[in-house]
Amino acid sequence: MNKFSLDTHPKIKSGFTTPPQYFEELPLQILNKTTETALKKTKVFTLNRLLYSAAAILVVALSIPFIMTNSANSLEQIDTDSLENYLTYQSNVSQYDLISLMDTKELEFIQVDLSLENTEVEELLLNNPNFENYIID
Amino acid sequence: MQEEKEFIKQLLHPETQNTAFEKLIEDFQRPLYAHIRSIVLNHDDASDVLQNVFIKVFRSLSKFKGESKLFSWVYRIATNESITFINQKAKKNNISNQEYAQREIDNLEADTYFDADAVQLKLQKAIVLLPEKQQLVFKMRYFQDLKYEEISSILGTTVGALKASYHHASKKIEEYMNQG
Repeated sequence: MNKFSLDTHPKIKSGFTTPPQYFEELPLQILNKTTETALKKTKVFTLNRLLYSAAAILVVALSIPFIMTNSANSLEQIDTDSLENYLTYQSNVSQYDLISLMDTKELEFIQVDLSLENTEVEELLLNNPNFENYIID
Repeated sequence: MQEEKEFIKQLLHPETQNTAFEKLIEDFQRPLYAHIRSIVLNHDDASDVLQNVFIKVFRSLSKFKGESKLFSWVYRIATNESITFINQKAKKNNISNQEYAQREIDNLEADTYFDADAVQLKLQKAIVLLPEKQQLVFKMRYFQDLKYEEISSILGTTVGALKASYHHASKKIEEYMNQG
């Protein structure tokens, strides 16, 4: 028996076949798909643009009250320490002026009840000489 | 070459694109089908991959710079798509590419679209035992009659290396074919 050789043996075909009319119908199937893809692409692009526009408007609309509140806060909500410092060192407003601007309720609110014994008061005055200034005032 | 440049221009121009693309399908569908089918083996899979290849080519037309021949570019896409398809199928079944190909070869006899005698079937069984690169080179050279230079432009391998691959593949196939 002769040995098999690819060089001498007649060409062997792959044996793969296709359904009848396969290559006649294939171009149309592919062209339909490419058209579909192109349409989808366009639609997606339009949708994206709409979505981006809507999102941008929404973000701007939502941030308006936030920005407004923030800017108002910066004017209205000065921290307590700064306010106290300003009133103490920078302004000519005395404590009597301040008291005259407050009503009874506000005064009651800031009033502190200290139940101190006389010895404790004396000790406090001895240890904090600055209290003399407040007393003089 | 001039003709190809003109054809590429038509493919890229919106007004002539559809007609040119239809011609591209007509010209390439049979050789590309043969190429893809030789890799994925099953007709339905080959048909799916072939359609994906043409869609991918259509979508990527704007990226084609004409640095390589249209033929090489399209074949390269087809080769990559086919190999990716096999990798995915094998991974899905949790087996190696070789095992997947072996399974497909075993199913060939029952395939409606495989019309082969004993020698043809034996040759397919011999090919599937080769390393992947040798399989690819052998199929492109033996079944599709592609020149080494053409295979080189598709696979990006030197002509010398391709000749060596084909030689090794032929020897192994002959050995298998000569076994009882």
